[in-house]
Amino acid sequence: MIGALAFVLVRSLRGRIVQMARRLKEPRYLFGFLVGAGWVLFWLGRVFLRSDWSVDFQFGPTQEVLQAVAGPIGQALEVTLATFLAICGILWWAVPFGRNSLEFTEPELHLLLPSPVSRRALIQYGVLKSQPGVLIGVVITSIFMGPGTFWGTAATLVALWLFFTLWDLHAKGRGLWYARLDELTPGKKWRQQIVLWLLLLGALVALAVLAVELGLEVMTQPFPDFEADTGTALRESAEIFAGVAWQSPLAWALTPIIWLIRPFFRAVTGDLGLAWFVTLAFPAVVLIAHNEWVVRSQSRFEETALAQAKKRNATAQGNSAFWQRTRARRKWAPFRLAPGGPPETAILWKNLMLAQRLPLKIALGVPMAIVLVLFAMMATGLIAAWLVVMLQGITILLMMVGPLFSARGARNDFRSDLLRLEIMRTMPITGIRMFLAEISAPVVVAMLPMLFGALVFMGIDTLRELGLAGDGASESSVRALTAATEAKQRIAQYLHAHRLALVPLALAAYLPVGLVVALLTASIENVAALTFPGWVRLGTSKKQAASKFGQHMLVFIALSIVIFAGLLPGVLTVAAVVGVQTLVWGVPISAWELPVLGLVGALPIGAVVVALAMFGGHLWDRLDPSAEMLAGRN
Amino acid sequence: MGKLTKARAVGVEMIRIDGLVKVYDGYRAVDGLSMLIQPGEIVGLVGPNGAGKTSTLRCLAGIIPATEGVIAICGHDIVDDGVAARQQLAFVPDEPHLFDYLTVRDHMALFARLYGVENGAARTEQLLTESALWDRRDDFPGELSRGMKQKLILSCALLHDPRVLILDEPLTGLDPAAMRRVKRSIVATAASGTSVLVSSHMLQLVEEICGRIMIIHEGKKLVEGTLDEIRSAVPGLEGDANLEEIFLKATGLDEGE
Repeated sequence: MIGALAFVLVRSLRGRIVQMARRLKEPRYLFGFLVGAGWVLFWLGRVFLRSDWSVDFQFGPTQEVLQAVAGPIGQALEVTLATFLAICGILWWAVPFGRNSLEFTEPELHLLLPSPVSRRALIQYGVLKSQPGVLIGVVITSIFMGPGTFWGTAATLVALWLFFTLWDLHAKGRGLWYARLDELTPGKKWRQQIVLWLLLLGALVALAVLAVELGLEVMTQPFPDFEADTGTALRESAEIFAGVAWQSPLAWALTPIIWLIRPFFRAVTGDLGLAWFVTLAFPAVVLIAHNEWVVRSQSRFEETALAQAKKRNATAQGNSAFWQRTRARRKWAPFRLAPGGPPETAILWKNLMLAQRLPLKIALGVPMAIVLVLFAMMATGLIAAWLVVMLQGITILLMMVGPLFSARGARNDFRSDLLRLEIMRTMPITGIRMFLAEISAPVVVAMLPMLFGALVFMGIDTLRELGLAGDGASESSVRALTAATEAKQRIAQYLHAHRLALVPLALAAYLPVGLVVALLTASIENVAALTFPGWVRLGTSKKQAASKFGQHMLVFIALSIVIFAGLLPGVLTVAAVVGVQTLVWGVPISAWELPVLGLVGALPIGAVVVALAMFGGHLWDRLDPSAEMLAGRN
Repeated sequence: MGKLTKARAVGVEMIRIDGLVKVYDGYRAVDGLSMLIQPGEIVGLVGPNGAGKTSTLRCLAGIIPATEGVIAICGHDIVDDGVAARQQLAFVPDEPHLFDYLTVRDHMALFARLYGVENGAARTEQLLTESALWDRRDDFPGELSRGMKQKLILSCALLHDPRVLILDEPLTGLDPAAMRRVKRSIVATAASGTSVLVSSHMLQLVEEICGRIMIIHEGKKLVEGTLDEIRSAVPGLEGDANLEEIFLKATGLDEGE
């Protein structure tokens, strides 16, 4: 019977390939395919170009980096990665998200469940279904992350296949374990759940204790002087940390995880002797054991899988939480939608609801209230200086990450609305206005953390300037704060402005840039969705599984390059203006110019956004979703 | 988007389809279809599975582009003057893919704003009460039965008082009481001057409410007219043949019997 299931598997794969090939009849898909193929071939070519006969033409990590990774630094990296994986694993088992175990489509379930297939074979089929995705992902990842040589890349591929397959099996096993838990009586279920949580808590505490112990041990080591030679000092520091970490109890406790990732580290560093083959033994045994654990599961996965398939089919996105909300929260909305006014506001309102129903005044007010409490605590010396510095670091991160990544992750735009073409296409709005309305929601989602970060950063800076933040701190923390203030003073002097004016001026320069960056990322994502609706994954849920890791990475890098290209006109314009002012006219840059420079940088990027919006609007007006609708995607 | 006026000029075509062709990957789903629909008319579009009914309606609503031919809604070309055309029409699909994160009331608010319905709140209450959804106004589509979703999408469609109403299998999934309500609603909408184009396999519905019927097969129009006209146009039928018999004879699907 497994032969029949293998037949279904192969035919399904063939069907998908045929469907993809048919799409290539359309010029835009053919163009996209050629660009994508060229992109992959470029990276494949890199593997061969890194061979010994072309040492002059190299990409990727340098030999120095590879040698460093092969030494004690590599060992420290193994410990760090193992710790990270252990923490992720513990949290992953503890939180009630992503418990989808075996994903079957509705037709598969209707056809396979009543057929005379053994339970074990059916589960094995469910496991094998993710292998094509895992294999493609592993090939892509090993090309990107491998050492560049042919055998090194091949070895990386094997090591990554073992790791990703194990990850995939572990996810399925976890899902089945939880499905089994749901079948128990409430009393038994909670007893088992509490035992699991206690075990996880114990493991987390043990990890924390061992990590703190390692940290204390590292602190006692004599670190080199950074002021003499920063590069050498950094390398020596890493080696000191590596020496301590490798001998620490934490490393001993994490040995099984280290053994799982070791084949990858050895492959990356080109250490491919007999020892590398030996390192494969442990992951291989764990993988076989995992497979047995999964296929022998007694969980009644059929009901869960059927319910999940139905939900996926009905909504095409995993938004089950929407109908689990309380009655009171169902009446919430980001803002009140008045009956009159531009229809674009309705699209924005709708798409914001997809991200969050929380009213905007609460979404802004609550964090601001928390921040005010924090400011009061800083002013009264209740917050240590190191925490102040850390908070400022977090706000910078918020400001940087928001525009670049929030719009990409939010997906509350065409990427969700293309699933409801029969409603969307009949809306009486022109293409360009529809495009702008669609990108506005992810931009709002991106801008909120950015504005919040800017306000907090400026607040903390003002408190520090007034001498109200950082009181009661330790000597080292005060030293760090003083160093930061001195650095700021130096920058202010260089830019011919008072220290107090520096942050407001820098923020005034950054805000328009942040806005156009958010607009640019949202525009690029939406143009991609409208150009290739058959390829772009639609809906809010972006599959985050082992079988999709490589594809996500490939798309992420490609989109990052496109975004970088979109930013280039702004960067070049600012560089040209600064160059002419300083080199041709000999006038130094002043901090008072920063807001103008921000606008000068934002305008060309804004022009790119306008061009993309016009193109996106044209795409929407001329969209022909016939093939996608026939394929049942809408 | 101002308030809609319902100036109904008698004799003006509300729907004009001229030589419509829709080709999917080399397959002609619709092949040279033409029709005119006057204000207040209810026209039934019937045909066997794969006849091209849904493709015709989707082209008409501007969801997919026609390969060839001209489509005009109230004199506005659906391609060149799409916004004006869409402002006048409402489309009810056979499979309602609603926004699963919006409640029933949210859907109505969204459509009211999109079409600039000034008395949106009152009209929402009226339509939801008529379709027995007022008590479910804070529910998400995931909590509604298929019939309720169908009623919701129909309520959204009627909210802005469209001049052209296009319905694809409007009675699918409805209980008998809801079917009666929807039928009455369609007839009442047409009585106010709206042109209605209904596609359905429920031939009794078409026979009951449609003044004119078009039977299509393999993308081509076979016969068009009132029930009496199409009865006399199809040879080999008795004088009292109902639509089902006419349909089977016209499409040749009765040959196996």
